[in-house]
Amino acid sequence: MRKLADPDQLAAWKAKILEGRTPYEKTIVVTSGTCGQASGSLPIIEALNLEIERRGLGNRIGIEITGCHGFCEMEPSIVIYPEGVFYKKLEPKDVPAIIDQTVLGDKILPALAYEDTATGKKYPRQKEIPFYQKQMRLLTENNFLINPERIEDYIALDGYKALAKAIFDMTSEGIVAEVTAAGLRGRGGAGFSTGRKWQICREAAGHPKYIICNADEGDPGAYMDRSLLEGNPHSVVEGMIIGAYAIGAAEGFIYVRMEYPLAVKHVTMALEQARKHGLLGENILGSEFHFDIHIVQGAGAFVSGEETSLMASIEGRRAFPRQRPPFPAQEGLWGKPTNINNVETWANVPIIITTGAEGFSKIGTEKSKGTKIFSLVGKINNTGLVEVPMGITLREIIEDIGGGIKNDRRLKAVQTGGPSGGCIPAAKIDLPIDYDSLAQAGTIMGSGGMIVMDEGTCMVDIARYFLHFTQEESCGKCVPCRVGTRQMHEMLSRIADGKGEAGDIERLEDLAFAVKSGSLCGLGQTAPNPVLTTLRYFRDEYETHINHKKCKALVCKDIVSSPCHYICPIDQEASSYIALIAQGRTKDAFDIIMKDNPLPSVCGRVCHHPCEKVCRAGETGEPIAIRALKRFVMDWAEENGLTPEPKPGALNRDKVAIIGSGPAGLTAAYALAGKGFRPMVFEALPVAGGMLAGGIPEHRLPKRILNRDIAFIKKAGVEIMTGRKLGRDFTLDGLFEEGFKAVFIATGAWKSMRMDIPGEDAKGVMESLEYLKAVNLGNPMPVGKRVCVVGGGNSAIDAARVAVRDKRASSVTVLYRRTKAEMPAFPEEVDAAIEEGIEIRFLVAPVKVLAKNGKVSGIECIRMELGEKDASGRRKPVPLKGSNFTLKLDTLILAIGERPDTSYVSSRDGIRLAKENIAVDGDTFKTSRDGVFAGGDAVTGPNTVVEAMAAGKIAAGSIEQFLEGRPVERAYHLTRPSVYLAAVELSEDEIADAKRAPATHLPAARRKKNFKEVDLGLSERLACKEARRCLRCDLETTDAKRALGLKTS
Amino acid sequence: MIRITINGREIQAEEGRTILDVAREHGIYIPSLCDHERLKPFTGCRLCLVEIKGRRGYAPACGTFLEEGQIVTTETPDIQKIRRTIMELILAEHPHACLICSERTNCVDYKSSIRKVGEVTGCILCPNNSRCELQDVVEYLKVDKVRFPALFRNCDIRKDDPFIDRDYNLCILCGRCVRICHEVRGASVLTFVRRGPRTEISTALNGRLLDSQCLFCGACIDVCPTGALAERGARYLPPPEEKKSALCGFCSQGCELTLEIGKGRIQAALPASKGAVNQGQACLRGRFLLKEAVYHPRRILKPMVRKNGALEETTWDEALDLTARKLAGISPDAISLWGTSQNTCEDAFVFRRFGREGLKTADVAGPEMFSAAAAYRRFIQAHRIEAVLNFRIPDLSRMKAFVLFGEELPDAQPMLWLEVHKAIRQGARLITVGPEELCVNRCASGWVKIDPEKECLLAASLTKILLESSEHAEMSGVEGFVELKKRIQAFKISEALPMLGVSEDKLRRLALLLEKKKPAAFLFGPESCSGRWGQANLEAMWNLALLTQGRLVPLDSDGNARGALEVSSADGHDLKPAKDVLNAIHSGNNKALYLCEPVPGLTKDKVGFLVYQGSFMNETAEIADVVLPETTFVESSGTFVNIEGRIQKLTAAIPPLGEARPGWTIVRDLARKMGLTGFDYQDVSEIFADMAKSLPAFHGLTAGQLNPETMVRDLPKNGKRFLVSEAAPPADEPATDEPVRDPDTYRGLAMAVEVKSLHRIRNRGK
Repeated sequence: MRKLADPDQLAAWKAKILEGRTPYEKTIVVTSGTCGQASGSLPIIEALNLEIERRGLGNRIGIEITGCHGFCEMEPSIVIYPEGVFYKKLEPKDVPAIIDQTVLGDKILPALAYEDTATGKKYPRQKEIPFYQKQMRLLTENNFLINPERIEDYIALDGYKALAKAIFDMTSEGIVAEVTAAGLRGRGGAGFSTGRKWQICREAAGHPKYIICNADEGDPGAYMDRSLLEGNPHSVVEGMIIGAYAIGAAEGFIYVRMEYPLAVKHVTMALEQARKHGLLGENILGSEFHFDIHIVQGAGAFVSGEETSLMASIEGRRAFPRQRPPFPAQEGLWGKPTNINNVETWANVPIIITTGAEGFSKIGTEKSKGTKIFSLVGKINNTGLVEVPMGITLREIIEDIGGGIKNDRRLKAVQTGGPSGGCIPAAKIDLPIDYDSLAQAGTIMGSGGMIVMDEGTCMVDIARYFLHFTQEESCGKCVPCRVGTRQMHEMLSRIADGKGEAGDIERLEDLAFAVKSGSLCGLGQTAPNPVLTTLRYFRDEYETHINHKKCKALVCKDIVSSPCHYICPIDQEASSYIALIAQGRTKDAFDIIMKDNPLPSVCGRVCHHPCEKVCRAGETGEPIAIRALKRFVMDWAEENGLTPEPKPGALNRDKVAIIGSGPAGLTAAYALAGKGFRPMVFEALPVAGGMLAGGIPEHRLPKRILNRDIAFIKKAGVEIMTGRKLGRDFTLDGLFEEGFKAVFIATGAWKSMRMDIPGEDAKGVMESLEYLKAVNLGNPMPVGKRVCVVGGGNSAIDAARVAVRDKRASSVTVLYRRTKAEMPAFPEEVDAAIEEGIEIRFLVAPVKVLAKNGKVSGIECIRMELGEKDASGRRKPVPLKGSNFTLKLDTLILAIGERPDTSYVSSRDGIRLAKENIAVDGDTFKTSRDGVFAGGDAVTGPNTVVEAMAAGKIAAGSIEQFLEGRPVERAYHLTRPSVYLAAVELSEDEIADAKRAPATHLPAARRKKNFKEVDLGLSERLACKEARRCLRCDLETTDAKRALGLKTS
Repeated sequence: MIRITINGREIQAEEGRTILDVAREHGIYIPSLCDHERLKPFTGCRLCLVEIKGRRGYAPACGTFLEEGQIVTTETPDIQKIRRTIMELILAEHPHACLICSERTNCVDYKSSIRKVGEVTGCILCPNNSRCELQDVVEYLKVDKVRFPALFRNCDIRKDDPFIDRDYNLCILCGRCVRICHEVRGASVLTFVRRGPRTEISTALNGRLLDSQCLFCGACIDVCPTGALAERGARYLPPPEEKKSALCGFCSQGCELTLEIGKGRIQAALPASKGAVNQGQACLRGRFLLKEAVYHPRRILKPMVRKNGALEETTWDEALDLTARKLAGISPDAISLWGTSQNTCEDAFVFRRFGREGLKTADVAGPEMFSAAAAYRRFIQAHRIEAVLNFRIPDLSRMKAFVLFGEELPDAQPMLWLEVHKAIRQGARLITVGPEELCVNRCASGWVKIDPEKECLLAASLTKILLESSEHAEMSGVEGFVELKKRIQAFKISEALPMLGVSEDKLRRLALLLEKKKPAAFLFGPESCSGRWGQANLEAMWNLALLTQGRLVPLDSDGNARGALEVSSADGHDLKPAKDVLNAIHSGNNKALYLCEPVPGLTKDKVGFLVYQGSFMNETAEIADVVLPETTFVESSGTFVNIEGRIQKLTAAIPPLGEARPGWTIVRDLARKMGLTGFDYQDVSEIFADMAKSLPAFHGLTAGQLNPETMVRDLPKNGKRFLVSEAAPPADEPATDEPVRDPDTYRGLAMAVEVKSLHRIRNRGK
């Protein structure tokens, strides 16, 4: 083919290309950019070719290979035209079925079609997929239609027509004016007006002039430029030629990273093809205009993306930036006027020339025109490249296009602009995305990286990550950047490692200011942005890391150590006892448990085990059965006659009164005794144990087990007086008069809440706690035939399961206004209840209690549906109008919540209340009265056993400080096990078979009408196997590695 | 002129200067650690940030050029805050306990003797203490604590090179060393390596300096603001007590040095920042060898006389009495004197007068007579052409091409090389000619590998190509042009090519280069212009130079080669040629020899009475009957004439070592003892006055009027003329063993042999 000598020849060529195309019945398009190839597109192409050849369909079915379509999450994927059927995540074995069913048979294969994660809806056609729906694919649309290795495909889509228009129908001033009027701003991130930039270079004195395409894409997780160069290289080349013509440049450079081999390949081919056809080189399209482009491959330094560095690199020097002015437009490459634009900017140029400034500037906001490509990555369902009009909100990108956050978690923040940018908190999700609003939020557009972070992300860690990147990539030329980023990284590391100190935040801010205002180039000037924005929006996280040594997201390894231990309110070294069980050292495991827990047998049964929720093994599989392992140790100890021996020590210090013998009171008393104080526990009930004794039924926590733990506590020096009630039998002042030097109030939350609906006080309506207490204390309240429980917590399920064990009850029903997923009761309890024949009716709320002769006879309910999420993140139940119905019943048990009963507090006591709860200082559990401390449900309202125990334990520390006359303050410390145990080695089989040990329960039939303990615990063999599954997160801290002589990073 | 305002002061300055330069000039202090007056702006340390009205952010004063109406503020609370933070960041990587110690002023008295450790942990142990520029900035910014943890880089201390120790733990990465090495010295040995926190200064592949192209000029040490780079021989010494200016006499360029002196000894020699010739630069010899030579164990510190066959130390009186007595009894015909071109003009003048007028012998000569300058002068005089020896080194940077004949310029003429290299970087081209591959070949556009005797052939070949390739109309009026054209026709390139060993293509390329790049300088040493081919070479070069509007530049290495030449060649007396004097010395017919330099190959049996006057023991001094200790150039006063013809004054920086005396006083005292009149000089200025009277080169000058720009009189006579010699060079004349002047040898001390470090450098790769 000869070189094109004028625009008419270009048009003629296009016509010829279209004419010469084979009229395939179907065309299969395979996405095969770098990410496509990495996910396996090449074997798919091979399989398609083979299959078509085998069947002799070569003249009916065409295969086209294109660059990236943006939907990376679904690669490798194909689109079958003309219908536009989209198949995702293919394997070569899917190919025959695709040819048979879809290509030849016009049938959809549902398994290969895209399914929306949130709704479960299938979308077989590409155009309908929500991911593409809200996009505006100005630059990337042609990636569907172009084989980037063929210039003909580009020509067929009117490629180089803009160039012809620019050269033959426009003046160079006119082009600059058009680009200026279009409002195009630099897509490299800074957002300077492209037209004005061109104008300056055009007017600059000096010859020759150069233009550069900056394709040194270096932000972690950003690959927009690569996709354009790979998928539609001619659009960039055409933009550059037009730009060169407008500016008056004779030579251009594409500076692209060496690690983009496919982009380099496609651009190289594009340049060769353009040259061959007279679109590049001398006398372009027969005009007087000469221009050529060279490719320079960068070695992959982040700083090379900075324009002065990039130019130094092209010149063959070390990529050091230099001070501006002079700007590249004045003194650029080899001292000559140079214009640098980003890949995406250049690709916009032909579009502007074709559509005109007016058309182009209709897209976007007032000051940000056109579209922007973002690479949407992180904790998002639809990872990929998205092109959106400027001004779209973050919410639309994340929820509509991105399909929401992975694993149904909550959005925490979005990082834009890569290491130079900053984060936008979830609260700003309705922020319109344009240059100016992002700048206002403290971040930048950048080249278009968009990293989505969920609640499992620690913002200190994120800042540390980005600063690690920038300090490594600092070129080393200027001090603020080279040393400043390093010091910032060091400081962030210290904070993340739990070694932060007071003043660190201020130091960090000072340093960020100096680095930002003192650094030589953009790298340093923007490097503090991740720190500054996280400090702006998530300062509390920094403070928690520094002051409390806590990482809310459980990310910072040196703070968290093992999450199970970290999250445990009473500091149980779960990782240690698990490791000991794994080694068969059950006795040692017993000691470790006893060290921090005076109620281990109780906890082994009824703890809500937050440890298991955060267990890392649960992230990819099932969490370790930590609670069951603890119970195993305690059962084993009992079988082997092992009793804990309290530490000998004289009890010769002050007397302390503990009001309430629940988990908070007992734990506080035990801890105080351990410190040598003389604790005296006052219990209103006739038995010790508080809610453990009165509230939890026998089938979950046998009294024998509870009493075993209490016996041990007593043995440690705790005196318990039952049947003594504060306000009735004694007063606070009286205690101090009797010589008690401090008081700990842990009276629990025993008062049931009412529903406030008509008929609630009819006979046969009971409160669940009253009911449970009565059963537990051996004088059960009789129930009728039909029992109904209202509520969804453990108390509701407990009451239902106790009722089901009552021989008088023939049916037990639980009413709950949300669904099973929202139920606060332990799921295994709910399942067990259903097993025992209890009917649970979800999305139902009572509106009226029906009574006959003053005695309850039924209940009127209304159906609910789940609406918007409320503050707790749960979807709110909304009544369905007119859905009322009634249920007949004989006994109604209310289990909708409890409150503390603090009526014993009188104004004379000097104890401040927050509503009915006792108000305390959250850190130290001090009340408003000197010497009086409080904790447990009395303070928090109904809460878990282990939280109450934690309050007791911490309060004991505060009481000690108080009694010693020291300032009372909570000491925070890093989570560390007391021993570092080497990890056990697992065989391949064990790893393959690493499944959670199943809980063994008494069969429903054998437990239904009695109070035998339901959970049978783990056998020694199973326990050991289970323990060996542990991932041993506790060994990942620097301390652990050092202790075990492992390599530290 | 541009008008700007700095801190409210209106200042006028030339365009193209930086804010920092102008502020400094006007006494406004702006801290800076990376800027250096001889280097281009780097803007790396960011301490010089200033506020410019109307400009966003802060601008580095060192890299911001003046613009009309700029309003600059150099100190604001924010700027000082940034500067202090930056300084803290620098100090976090640099040992700083002493810098910020509140007691530092009190510990001065106790810190003199503990510097002898390799690891620097604070200023008192630092080789750069009191010279460290961090100290000034810390003082100015009043940094009294560092809020950031120390980040020790843990670099190995590099001591594997001669003279230079590198401890990059002290480095602040200002890049001055890298830039001076690249921008000024053209060596490009040092570079930044790696990035981020591991950025470091090193050589390529992190090798030794010895394994690089390093010339050990020491410029990197001189610009280092910290103690990262240190001269090994000086790093353990306390700060100097005084500094004295001195002229370096090791080579013919005449660099000005600043000597650091402590307890009467020279501790270090640094280039004077305002040195007329060297502009703050020095070379390996001047920078590192001065102490080595002056305090060398071979230094002669006492007069000696031979007693019972062995040299014994004695008094000046006895040595001079003996000499006077012996010389008086010998006929002038049987006495030969051999001077040196490495002591002052005054020494040379008195010595030669003593020989000719006092002893009345015609056998007085010295090595200067074998210099390139001497040969070129003979050539100029013989052909009566318009040419001068004088030139200015900076003029070389305006040349567009250089033809370098066999000289290893960076070693032999380092300052000259800097200008040549500067020109090369600005686009000039270099052609080297000679049998050995030179280091400078890496910057050369071509190398013609031939022996000196074929240089005329090369020059003639190039001339022929040039003459044939274009008309050279502008030359047609020059005398001899027509003859040359005619003559050159007979010359056959095809015959020359096999002898030159180059292709015609290459030859044409080189010719074209000279045609395009005018003017060209032809740089040659004694080897090109001595021997039987010497005059033919000069003639061919001369014609080529004339044709390319260039000039010839003779290169000699001896410290006062040009001065001695001017002293010697002014004699109207009927003197023997130097070659004959040397032959006479070797003949064994002399009854007495008075030598100021070793004469290799001289044996005792050929000598009657031998007087050796010099600074170092050597094979000639060993066989002498009387040895008279002479001062070196740092202990001498007088004048030197450098390679350019610049007359430079020398003032003794330290008193003479031992009993050494300046050359002219030795000769004066000897003359006195011999009862000769007219030698009663009390001062070098009296000698200078005599020189000004009797030597045309010094005519009309007085010692008091000398300034650094004073040149010897060297007026061109006659006119431009192409030369066409009738006589071919005598083919059968044997090549004489003319002494080769080695730039590393000073007064007979072969430093490349005697100084181990220099030996390592000169023999690297071998």
